[in-house]
Amino acid sequence: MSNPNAIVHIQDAHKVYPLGHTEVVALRGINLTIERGEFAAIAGPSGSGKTTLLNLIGCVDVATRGEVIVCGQATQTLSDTVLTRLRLLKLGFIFQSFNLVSVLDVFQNVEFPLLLQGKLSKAERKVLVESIIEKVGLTGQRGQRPAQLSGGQRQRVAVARALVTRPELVLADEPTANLDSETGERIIDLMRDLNHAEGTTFIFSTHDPKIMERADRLVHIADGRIVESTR
Amino acid sequence: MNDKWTLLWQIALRNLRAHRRKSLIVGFILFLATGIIVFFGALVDAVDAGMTRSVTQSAAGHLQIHSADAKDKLALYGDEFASMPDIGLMLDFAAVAKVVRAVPNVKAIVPMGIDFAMSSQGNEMDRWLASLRQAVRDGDEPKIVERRDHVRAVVKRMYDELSGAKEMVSAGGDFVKQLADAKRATEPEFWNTFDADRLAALEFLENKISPLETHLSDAWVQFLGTDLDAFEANFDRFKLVEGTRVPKGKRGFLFNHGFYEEYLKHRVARVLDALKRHRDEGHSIDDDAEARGKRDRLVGQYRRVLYQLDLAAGVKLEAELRTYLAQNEADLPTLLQELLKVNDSNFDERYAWFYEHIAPHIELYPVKIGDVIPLQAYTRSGYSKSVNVKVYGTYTFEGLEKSDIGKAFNLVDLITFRELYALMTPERMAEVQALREKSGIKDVKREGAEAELFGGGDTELEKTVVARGFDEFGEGGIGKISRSDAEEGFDPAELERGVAINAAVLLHDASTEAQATALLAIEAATKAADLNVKVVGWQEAAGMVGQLAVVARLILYVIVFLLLLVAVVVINNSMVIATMERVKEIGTMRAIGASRRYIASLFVIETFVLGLVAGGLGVVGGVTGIVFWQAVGLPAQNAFMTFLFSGPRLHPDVSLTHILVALTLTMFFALLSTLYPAWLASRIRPVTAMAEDG
Repeated sequence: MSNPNAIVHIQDAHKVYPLGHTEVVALRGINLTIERGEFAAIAGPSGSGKTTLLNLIGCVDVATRGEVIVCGQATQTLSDTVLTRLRLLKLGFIFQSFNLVSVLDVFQNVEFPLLLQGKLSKAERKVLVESIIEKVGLTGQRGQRPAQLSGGQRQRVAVARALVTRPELVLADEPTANLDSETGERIIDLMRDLNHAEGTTFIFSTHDPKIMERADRLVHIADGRIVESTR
Repeated sequence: MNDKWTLLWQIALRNLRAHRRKSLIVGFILFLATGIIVFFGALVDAVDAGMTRSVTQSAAGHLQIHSADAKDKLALYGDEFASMPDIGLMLDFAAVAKVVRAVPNVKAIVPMGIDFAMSSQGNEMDRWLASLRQAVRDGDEPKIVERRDHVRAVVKRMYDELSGAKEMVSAGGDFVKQLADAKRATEPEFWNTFDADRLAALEFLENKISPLETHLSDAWVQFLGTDLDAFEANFDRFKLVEGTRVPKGKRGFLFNHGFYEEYLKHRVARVLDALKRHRDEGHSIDDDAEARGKRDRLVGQYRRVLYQLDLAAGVKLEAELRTYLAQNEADLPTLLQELLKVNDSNFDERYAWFYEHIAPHIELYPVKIGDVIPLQAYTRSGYSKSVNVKVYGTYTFEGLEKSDIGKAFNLVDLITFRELYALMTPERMAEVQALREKSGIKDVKREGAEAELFGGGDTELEKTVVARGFDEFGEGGIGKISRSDAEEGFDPAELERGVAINAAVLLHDASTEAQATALLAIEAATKAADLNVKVVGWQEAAGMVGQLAVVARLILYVIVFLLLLVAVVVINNSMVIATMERVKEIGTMRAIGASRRYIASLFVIETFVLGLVAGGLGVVGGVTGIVFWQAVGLPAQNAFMTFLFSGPRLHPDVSLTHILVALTLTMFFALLSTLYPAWLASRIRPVTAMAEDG
């Protein structure tokens, strides 16, 4: 890897999905480098390959061809166990539909990745979880289940869950798509603040021009190819 | 760090609540399966134990020994064709007994043999004529007059009955001839000339009139010949009901009380008894086809009462019946028929009336305690053999009174049995074998042969044998053996010395393992002594009956297996559906960093908890059911169930084993059915978390 500051380095990445007897080509030779601390947006219309690219970076999928290096690890050579470990320790996820564990309350949802990591004591976890819940402004809702929360509140729980482990890289797939524009902007502002305060790298996909404006870096993707990359 | 797994349990528990429908379906099946396994497991064990008691404590003992030359398998209660199997003979029971008694854990060995005989009592007319003939022979004039007038009255009744049967008259043929004979026997000139040639008149009545009464009271009697004292001492269920025990060293017969009441008793009384029992069990006559049939046929049985009444009784009863039934014109036959038209509303009253007013005038039992009865049997070679034997009493197997199998045997002393079976003493048998040896047939009991050839036998025994005509070619015929013969005693040692068909072995420790050990030990000991016998467990010896517990168990296992199979399918389906519903959540957990094992564990824990709770409730349900029936007692609905339950009610018992087996089975199958859904869940790719529904 040429750039020591790069957290993501993608070289000629292709992704092909089998679909019945044919194939769908989702990515056709992506070359992309994201540096630590960047607040990057991947933009493009539906079906352009945004989510596929995010999946490769998030280590929940591997490239059919080419190289994807995340946090210094070439993902296509790793086993499921190692990839799982990588996601657990280095990455954070924010999903379009929030994807909270419905049977757990706010505190437990946020604590969940910490428990999976198993590195901290109960007391340490409590301090950490409570401070992040406070940061996202949900202290009053810490004992509530996702069903009792509004969309914006849920996404804030998801943000807190993604950040509680202090990941090197947070991936967000259209985090504002299911929110009204005002709430969406507030979520982006929250992410932006955390990016500045903690120095956490954020990569998110969106097709909302208002959201794109807030990014330091904008990667335009169409038909599985990067058509434009601006800072 | 354990907190990760604590959370997993928490998620699992909450998921169970969140997916209530699935949990209820799966839980209900597990509840049902566990409950059924506990309940029916305990029930089958109770039936098994009850049946074991029924069989082992009535006649089978724990093990049975018979000749190794048996052509058929021993079936104490008859084989599939309800015939007596040919299981050979144990020629020298004493030798077998000696060897068996020396085997550890053997409590006793009881010799036995089962056979059928016919006990012919003749019909009512035969009996009246026999008593008239006796009076004529004795020259007892007052008795002759009394008996003659009674016979005349009965003949008149028979004729009136027969001539009333118009449809039969039109049938013509023999019946017309018979009717003419009956008419002649009612006419005054026949009776006027009776005293002139009494024997000729008796012969006419015996040959022509008596056969018109077709109610022969011949009874086929199955009996078990045994050492009666040893039998009573070793079979706990044995209980004397009426009369006395057969004195030691005496020949004698004990009726099975159930057989005596239900097969020998006067038919009308017997049917009334059966209907009463049926009603006492809480049923009505109208509701049951069998009871209705019995009731409808009862009316036609009135002749059995009519022909037994002497003149005085007939007159008295006619008057009483006219008052009771308020029918002043009707004659006795009509009145009797009317009385026997019973239904659910008049039954109890008529039943009581019958026993109060009619029973004292008729013979309720053709054989009474203390009577000497002729038993006629066919020997194995097909010759008819007849022996008179005194009836000392009736006995029952306690708790099995209502069971057909508990009513299967009447008891007779072994000496009489051997005689009926035309079994020879070892000495006589040896003689035959010595003859065979001469003609080149092998397999000879050498010591017996020598004893016979060189006169070394027990001479006293030989005399007894000759005197009783043990030989198949002897002159035994119906009633030919005098009364003194029936009362004759014997040396108790004879019981051991002779032949036995089979023998029951009773053990001190009757556990399954101890039985198996004893069986092998007896086999080894008898083989070492060159005794040529075969040893079988009671299950085998009891024939089909012995297999019942196995069959019941098999049915239970099949039901449980099918139930668990259904459970596996349903649980598997529900869990797969649940997995599909939770793809996104599971994918998210995987994306966040949960391992495959963690996800699979979640599903296994869910089933485990559900299995434990539902299974626990199932155990509670099953145990409650058993405890309830233990207190109340499961009632035996029929004779067969009485046998299975070893009494009128079954009190099942539940043990920790039943509970553990049920829980283990349910848990095992529940977890088995979760393996696939759990595996499926663990294969859910984290990328599914990203996928959007729309």
